[in-house]
Amino acid sequence: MLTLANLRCCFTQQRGPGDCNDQISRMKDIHPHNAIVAALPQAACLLERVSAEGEGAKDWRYRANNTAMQEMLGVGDLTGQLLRDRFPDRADEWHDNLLRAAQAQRPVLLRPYTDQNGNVYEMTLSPVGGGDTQLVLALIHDVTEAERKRKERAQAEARFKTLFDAIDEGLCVVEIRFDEAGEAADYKFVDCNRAFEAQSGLADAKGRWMREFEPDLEPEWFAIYGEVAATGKPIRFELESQAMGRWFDVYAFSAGPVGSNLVAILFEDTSERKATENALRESESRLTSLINVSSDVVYQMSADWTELRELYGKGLLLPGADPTNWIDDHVPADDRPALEAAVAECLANNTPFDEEIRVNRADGTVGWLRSRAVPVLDDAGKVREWFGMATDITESKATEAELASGAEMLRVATEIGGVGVWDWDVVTEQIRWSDAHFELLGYEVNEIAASLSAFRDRVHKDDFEAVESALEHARETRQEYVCDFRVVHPGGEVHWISARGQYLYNADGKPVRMLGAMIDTTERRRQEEWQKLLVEELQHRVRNLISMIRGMARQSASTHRTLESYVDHLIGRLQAMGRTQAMLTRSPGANVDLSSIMREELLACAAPEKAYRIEGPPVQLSPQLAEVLTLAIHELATNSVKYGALGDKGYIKISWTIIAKESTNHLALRWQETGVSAVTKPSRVGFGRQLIEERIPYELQGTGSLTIHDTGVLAEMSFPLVDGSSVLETGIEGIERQRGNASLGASEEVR
Amino acid sequence: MVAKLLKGCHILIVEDDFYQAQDIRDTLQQAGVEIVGCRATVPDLDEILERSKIDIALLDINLGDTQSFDFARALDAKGIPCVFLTGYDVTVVPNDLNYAKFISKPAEASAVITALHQVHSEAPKASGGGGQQVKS
Repeated sequence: MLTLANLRCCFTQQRGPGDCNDQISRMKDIHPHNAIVAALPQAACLLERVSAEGEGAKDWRYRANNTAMQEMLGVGDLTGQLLRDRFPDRADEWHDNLLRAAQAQRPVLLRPYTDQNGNVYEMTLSPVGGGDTQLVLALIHDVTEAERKRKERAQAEARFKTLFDAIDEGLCVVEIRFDEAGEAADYKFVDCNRAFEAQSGLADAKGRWMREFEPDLEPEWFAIYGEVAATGKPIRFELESQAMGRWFDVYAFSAGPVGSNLVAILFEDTSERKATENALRESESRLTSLINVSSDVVYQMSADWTELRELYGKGLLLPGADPTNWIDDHVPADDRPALEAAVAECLANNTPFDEEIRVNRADGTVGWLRSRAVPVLDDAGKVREWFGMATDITESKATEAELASGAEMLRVATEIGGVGVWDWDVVTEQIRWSDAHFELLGYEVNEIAASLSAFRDRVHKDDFEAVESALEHARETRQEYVCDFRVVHPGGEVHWISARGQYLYNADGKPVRMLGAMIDTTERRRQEEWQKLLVEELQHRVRNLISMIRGMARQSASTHRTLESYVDHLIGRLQAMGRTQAMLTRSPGANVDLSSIMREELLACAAPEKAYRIEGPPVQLSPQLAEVLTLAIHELATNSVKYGALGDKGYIKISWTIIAKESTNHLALRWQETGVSAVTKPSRVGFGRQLIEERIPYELQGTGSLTIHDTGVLAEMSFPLVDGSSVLETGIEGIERQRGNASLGASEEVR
Repeated sequence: MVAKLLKGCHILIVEDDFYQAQDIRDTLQQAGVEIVGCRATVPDLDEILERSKIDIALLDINLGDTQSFDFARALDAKGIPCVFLTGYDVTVVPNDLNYAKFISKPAEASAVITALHQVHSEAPKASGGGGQQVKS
């Protein structure tokens, strides 16, 4: 029931109490219902049911309406008009509601009503009076604007909620609790989005306090959020929580008015990114260090190499004058075409650039760089630029050249010197030989693979132990390996080798490598042996000669009456021996012509040419025969001058023939003097007779006789024409002949 | 004069040089030596032993185109000691013959006689003819 008190309440919602009293006092003067409606500030009307029965049973009449309503609906005064006339479409619906309100005797709030213009109204129907009066007050509110705002708000909230949950970042609203000192002590999660748990690692956080989860959370977190709550200033930061074991990227902002202590926290767990970043930073730092230590020059080239974009020369290179003409600035003219060709090839294939190039150095000299560059691609896979690094290899280039030159010199030297060089990897048993090494062992160069066993195969069996023990000794004592040994070539030829080597050891003291060289000393040994032999032979001959002269001197002694005669004859014989020596030396190794000996001996005692005749075929005498025969002719000629034909007007016929006896040629020589007036017969056996009759049989296995006839001396000699050496020989050939096949004592075998 | 230290000693001389051979022969004969033979070349040993025993052989090493080492070995096989008289150094003597006495040329007569006497008195008399077949 609408009472004054009720109405009063209605007023108080809109106006002050003073106004309300004023309205009520004015309604007393007019019809109470109309007055009330007219007085209401809001749109209102009073409807009365037309009839309980009959045709008007479902219709209502406007008993009153106020100007607010007329303005709201854009109509004039509706008093007295029928509801059905006015709103035929809605009359039935409103009738039911009006009737319900009248019968319920209490206000009925109708669902908002939207008219054809989209305006929304809200109506409150209140029964007026009591009993069977069917009078209803309708208060109409235009809620079009409120409804629109409500809808918008609902939509915004829905969008917000969707967004709230849709974002990948963690988002929460927390309420900060400050302690008595005003410091932020903890915070409570008021709301959390879906991603919150994954990002924070905190499950079911809503409604719980942070310290419940992490009692040891670092104080700065509370301080930061407290600051946001206190000042309302948003903050963005990245911080690690060691307690939570995570890195967070955080944006915190006030979620309510200052004093509400609400803070929204938008955050992301960046632990992984941070780790990646750290790794990347470390990696970059390492790379930078590496580039810095390993390269002397770092550069960037444009994609087509026409422009040198950056150049860090570390003082090695001077910055060029023109980046687009870098090649002229940095590369000597002679090398430019080759470099341009190399660059062109890299550009054509997008292959890394890797060249050793000569460059003009800052100090004015030309140096060498080992320069490498790789293409840097953009996202589309196209070359964006080239990044390059270069290292100064001037010194190593020079060393390389020196080494190459040294190696070449060594190679030439070893080849010329016939030095065989080996390089033996003791661990892998791999071995390398120089060409000469193969040859020294009697192999063709690279005929077989160099190996220890290939070496052992050629070592003389008698020297095998010595070689092995020398190797072992060198290895154990770390001394130089020195060994002289024989090798046997495939043809059976024995060569002497002198080898020297050195083991190399690793840090553990194990032998890992051995280097060495060897030469063929066969010829040297032969020469040494030959020299030794010559000295031996010289010594032998000197001693033998002295011994022989002593013997001859003694044999001569008994045939001379006076010392003067003895000395003359002895000197004459020594001179004859001297002539033999000279003759043998003139044609060393060859035999001596018999007639030459004859003439020379006759000439030596000044025999006139017409006093003798020489007849006989050409005969070559061995040194031994020449020695004996020269002395024999000397004796005969000397005696002839003294006692016979040459001392008188006599004549000597010297003739010889060759007689073959038992496959050996014998020389039969005859010395016959004629026309000697007085022949003196020596009473004793003279030196010459002894020579002819004793020496020839003794030394030459021949025969000899000396007879003195009335007409003069007749000497006949016969001996085999065999080879034989003389103590008077001085040529090498004689020694070779004498010693060649049956050498003496220690020289039986070369050692 | 050298005392006849080697009286009755039978010695074979092998020396290719006539004058030296004569010299040694004369020297030894003066010392009482019985010269079994004086040869310029290696002789037929059996042939000599048929005629006479040999107490000592005095050998030159170099005999023209041969050496006397093999002959020395043959003598040794018969138990006959030999003495080398040579212009060579002692080092040329092969190891298996280095027991033999060695005299360097040119040698004093006394040195030769002393050496031969030494060898002769060292040679065990009992076995002196052991390896030799002396025919009377």
